[in-house]
Amino acid sequence: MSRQLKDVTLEAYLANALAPDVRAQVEQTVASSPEDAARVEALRAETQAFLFKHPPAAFAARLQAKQGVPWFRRLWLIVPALAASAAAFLVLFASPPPAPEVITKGAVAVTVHRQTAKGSEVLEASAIVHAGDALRFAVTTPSAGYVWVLLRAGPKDLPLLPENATSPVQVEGGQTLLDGAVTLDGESTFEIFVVAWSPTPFTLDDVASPRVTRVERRFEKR
Amino acid sequence: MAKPGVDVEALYRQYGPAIFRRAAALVRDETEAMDVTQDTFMAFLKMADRLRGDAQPFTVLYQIATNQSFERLRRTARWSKRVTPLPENIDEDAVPPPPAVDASKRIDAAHDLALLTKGEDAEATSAAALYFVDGCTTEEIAQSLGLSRKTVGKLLVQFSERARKRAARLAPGAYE
Repeated sequence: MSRQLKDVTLEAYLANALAPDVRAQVEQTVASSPEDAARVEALRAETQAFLFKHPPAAFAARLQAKQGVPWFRRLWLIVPALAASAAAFLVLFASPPPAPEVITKGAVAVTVHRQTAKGSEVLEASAIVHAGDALRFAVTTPSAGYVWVLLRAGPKDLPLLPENATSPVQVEGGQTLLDGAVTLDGESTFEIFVVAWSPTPFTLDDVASPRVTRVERRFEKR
Repeated sequence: MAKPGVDVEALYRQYGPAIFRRAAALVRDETEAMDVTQDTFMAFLKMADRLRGDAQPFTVLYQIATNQSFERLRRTARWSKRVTPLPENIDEDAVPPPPAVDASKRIDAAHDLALLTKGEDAEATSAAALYFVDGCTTEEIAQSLGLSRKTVGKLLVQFSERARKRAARLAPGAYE
């Protein structure tokens, strides 16, 4: 059997843009048509890959730049850019080899991205973070499972991602860029993030249990 | 600048990938498709204040992206007579099923339609593209873009009236 739904319909479905009755029809068709179900999954995967390659914060910054910024505000963009170039020069020629940027434990790896005006940068272990930085987390797992990003805050870890959720996010095996970004406040001099993964669902109380793999990332903050 | 109250990142996260794919399917070039995506969101933000309260962002963005893609295609498009507008005296409520477009001929069809849609608004352009290039029925177009079937029929019939005149002026192989 061939596909019954056109791409535009599936795109509208995934964008949550269909009227409720049409949405119900589409869901019914997808449930009974393996070809359409496969296309939905392919579009979801493409969406994830696209957002990883073209992060929302970078896109928004490019739009802003394209729409034009008054000259006196451009100065404020140029000065930090020059400072960053100078700093990059110093880092390139005066610092020891960088610490690893991907921390792994078992088969779970965590990469932290900081959103910048030009896109995003991967944070090395020695990176300094700042209040206002927006961080995103890419997690590589050996199989499908569940992931929670938490903030070490005293005796109990606070859940950060998925945002406002009471359960961890489900991921496929391989690399997943988690939805949502964590914006740092200026309250402490360091941040410790804990990425918890398990092949089966778990609660916050289970995070310390042996069945959950934990990977920690610590960053100094100024 | 982004309009106050419009969360550009959230808007892009929800609709950006689909808009990019729409553009890429028409312009067949990743860099151009990304440019179209940016232009689409910029155009959307400029008109955000004027949109009706019930306007669905997906529909508006999809229509702008289709229009912007055709603007780019128009620069190099050659007329290959792949698209035949609807004949005269078709009832708006009885638009026939779309002509089957072989996947390998879609590029030609998109180029033809780029030439035929010059000066058309985004709504008519996107309805025509979905019908003549993507092979969607009026029902499918109506459901996906949140329009009534009658509106889609009207858009296609009225577009065809204008397109017949334009097509008559185009010789095979002609540029815009």
